[in-house]
Amino acid sequence: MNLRWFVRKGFLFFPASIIGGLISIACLAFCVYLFIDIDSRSHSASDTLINFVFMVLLVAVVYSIIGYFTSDEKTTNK
Amino acid sequence: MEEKDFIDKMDRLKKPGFENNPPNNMLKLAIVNSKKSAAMGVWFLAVPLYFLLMVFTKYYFNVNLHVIDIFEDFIASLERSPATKFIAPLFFIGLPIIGIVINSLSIMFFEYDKKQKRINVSIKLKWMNILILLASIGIVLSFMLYLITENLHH
Repeated sequence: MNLRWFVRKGFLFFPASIIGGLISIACLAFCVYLFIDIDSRSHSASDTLINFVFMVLLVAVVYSIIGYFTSDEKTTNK
Repeated sequence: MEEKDFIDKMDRLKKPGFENNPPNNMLKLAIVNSKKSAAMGVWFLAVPLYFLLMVFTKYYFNVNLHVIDIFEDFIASLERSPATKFIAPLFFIGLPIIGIVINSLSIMFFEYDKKQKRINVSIKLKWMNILILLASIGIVLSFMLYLITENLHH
């Protein structure tokens, strides 16, 4: 099954179809929700940012795993 | 007569086949794409590297950004439920191990020699993949060592 939801450019996966776009928007929306949630519970700006960066990294890892399996890239030996 | 001889001679010529190819011209295919694996390896290293960076800022530079406390709270909250208990080991050890596997497979080429009954393994020098591979090995070893020493003490 060759899905082309994402295209890889460097280390990043960009959406290449509607489903890919929806996944990207969902991830961004989740990050915004996380920021608001963390900001409401934290005591300082650094506390917010440190927590937020960690959670964004977790979301980015999951997003990249989806991108890895759904980007159609030929295996070559070049 | 001369033309007939020439045609006969051409008919008798042995056609070249695949078996005459020299071994160095054989097609070797990597199991996974190297650039994609490198991209994935970087993301797999992001979480443990961020954690290690914060550990270094706390213990070597004496800058306490309370990240360790945040991590401890986060991991404790995950370990309370059996459904989310696997997430912390997955992010700190599981994903770097997967990074090691996919980056190794992307630079290694396997070729089975039927005549001599042996498997030839060659490694392509792709420095980005090798760098990520070494970083992943380093992170897995450091976390494993930490787990071993922590369990020896308790």
